[in-house]
Amino acid sequence: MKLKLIRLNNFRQFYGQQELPLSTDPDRNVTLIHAENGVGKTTILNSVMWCFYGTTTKKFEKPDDIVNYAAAEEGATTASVEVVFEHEGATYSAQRRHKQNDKKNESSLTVHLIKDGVYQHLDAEDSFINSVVPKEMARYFFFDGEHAETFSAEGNYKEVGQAIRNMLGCHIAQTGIDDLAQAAKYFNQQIGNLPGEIELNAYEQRLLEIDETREKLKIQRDECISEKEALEAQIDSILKKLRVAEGAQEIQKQRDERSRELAEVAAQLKTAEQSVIKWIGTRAYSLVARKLTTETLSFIDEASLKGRIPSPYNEEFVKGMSAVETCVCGRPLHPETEEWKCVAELLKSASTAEVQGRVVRARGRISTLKEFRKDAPKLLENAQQSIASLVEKRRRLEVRIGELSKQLEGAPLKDIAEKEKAYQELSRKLAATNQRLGILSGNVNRHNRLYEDIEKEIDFLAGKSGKAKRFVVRRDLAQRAADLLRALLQQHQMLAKAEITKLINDILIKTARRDYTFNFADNFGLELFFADGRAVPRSSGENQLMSLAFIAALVQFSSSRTQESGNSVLIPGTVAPLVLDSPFGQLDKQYRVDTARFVPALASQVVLLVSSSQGDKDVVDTLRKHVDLEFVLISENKGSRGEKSSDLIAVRGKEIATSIFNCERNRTRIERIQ
Amino acid sequence: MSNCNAATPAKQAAADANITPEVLQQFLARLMEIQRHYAFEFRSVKGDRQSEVIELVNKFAAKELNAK
Repeated sequence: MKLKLIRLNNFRQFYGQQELPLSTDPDRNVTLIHAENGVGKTTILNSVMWCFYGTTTKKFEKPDDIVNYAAAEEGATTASVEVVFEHEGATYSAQRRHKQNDKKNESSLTVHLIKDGVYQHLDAEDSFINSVVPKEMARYFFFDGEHAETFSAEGNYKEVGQAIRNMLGCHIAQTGIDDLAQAAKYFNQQIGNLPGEIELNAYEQRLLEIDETREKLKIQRDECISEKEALEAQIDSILKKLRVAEGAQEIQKQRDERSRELAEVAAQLKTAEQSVIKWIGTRAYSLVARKLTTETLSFIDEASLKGRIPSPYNEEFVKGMSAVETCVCGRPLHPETEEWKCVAELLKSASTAEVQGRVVRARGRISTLKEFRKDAPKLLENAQQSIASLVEKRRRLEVRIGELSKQLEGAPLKDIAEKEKAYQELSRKLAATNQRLGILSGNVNRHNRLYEDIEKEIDFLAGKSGKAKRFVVRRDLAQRAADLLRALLQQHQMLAKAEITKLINDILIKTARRDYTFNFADNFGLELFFADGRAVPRSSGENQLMSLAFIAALVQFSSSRTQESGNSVLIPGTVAPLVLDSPFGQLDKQYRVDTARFVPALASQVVLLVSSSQGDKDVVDTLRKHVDLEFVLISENKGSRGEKSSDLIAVRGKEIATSIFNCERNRTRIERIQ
Repeated sequence: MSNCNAATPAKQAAADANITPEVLQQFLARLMEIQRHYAFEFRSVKGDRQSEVIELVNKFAAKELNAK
């Protein structure tokens, strides 16, 4: 897809009807728009988003104020944006009209195919636009660079993970999983609603109650996890700063070492405590049952000595004599004779092979217990000594860490002391959050178990009911399909992560001045490292570069997925223009130039919105050979200049005033630079 | 509660219904057709889509798993 023209009508700062044609030239693919802050760069970016989807970027101020103020004062109640674009060889017009009423704002989208200058109306306009550039992917093509920290800042890994999932086109699979969960729930309800199944109905009601409570707990737990992660990220950020801060470096290094030792000791302590629990399970009863084992063993031994255990007669031997009706001595054993009765009497005390085996096993087991009893006290003593020693070691380490923390808190440099105080405060909050998380997780697990138990109970009862079985099969089909879909998504995400990592590192090799390595943290956070493995501080321009590289990689990743198979669980990627507002943000001059060098290659059409401080001569000169169309947004003001500066910018050898005064009305005007 | 094993009669019924990997793959393909159909809809289609998924499960269970 390529944008051909944006036509604004009383939209935000843009009074009246104004047009912005965009370059569709494959070689000179850049449209460059200069504007100072507050004049309308972000509005241009958002005009396309608003036209296509009726939404704007997150940080777009007053998103409901659509109609230009000056036009509204003159009685206008409507505004519109028309975007003319090419897609797969055809030209289309998308137009969103906004009507401002006293009570509510309304907007509607119409889409036309333009054929030989004739507009042909298309139905299902939203679906069509979404098939050209899915809404979930659009925000990465229409990107506000001023807020690039959305990706690189601490704790914003969720945005990163979401961006990857969106560009991967996961959302239909995700709704599939949600629908299957809903279907499983529906079939469970059907089981519970079967007429005449009172017990099943009661269990189903209970299941619903547990599910409701469990969902509430899960939300609380997820909030707690977010809170914990945010606190950890803040703590991590402070520690990173202390590790490099003059006056704190050495103390922090020692604290890091002691903290590592403390973590090791904590792990050893856990093992030692577990060994005591194991001792209780395997050895403690040998001591408790001392009297019982001694007496039992004595009894078996004595009975064995007296020939009572095992019994001197074997059951099979006695039965054999009765069967052949002949005694072992050769005398006949006719049934019901005195001899026969004597032999039959022997069966009462005759032993079987099983009884003999049991006696042997019981003896062996009791003998083992006797052995266990011998070393049980020593083992417990060793474990207790180990625990005591580890507890003492932990205490000493905690004291030492406390001393080091005090040193940092009392550091002569105010900045270090403040950071340390913040660290302490955050650590306290983290401890409390962890405790809360433990309770919530325990509660969720308990409800999971309760749910499973009741589900099993329902299964059990349903199994007896022919009517219920059909619903169980349906529910299981839905559940197992959801599990499979989840596993497939997970697999795709891992592959996407690896692919995007490679793309980002390729971009960094081309643009960064030093050797950096990019990697995703396990939780999707973006991480940039120096060649020696140290983390690059997040406030740096390098991280702005990393965010841009991430966006660039997402765009490339999306275009590599346009041929995604029709059978896939993913929506195919798309090729769309890259519209970047203030992409050079915090970059220093050299990085701005380096970035300007690679930006035109990121997409087949690039629209750059830059202020004079970002789009300086060097940047523009670097971009020049790729720029086809160039514009300036001029702020026209009703008021007089007064003390305000003239805001001149130099473009193509001309000086242009970006603010002019004593105008008929306040508005922004789009002026093309020839 | 009664003492239920992992393989309850109902679970066994599901196992008897033969939800094989192949059947699951076929089911998933049909499910994704529905998801794709609604994928680019802006208006709220959740209710319609979920009904279609339930209908799909019903049809599939009856036809492929012989659970009428």
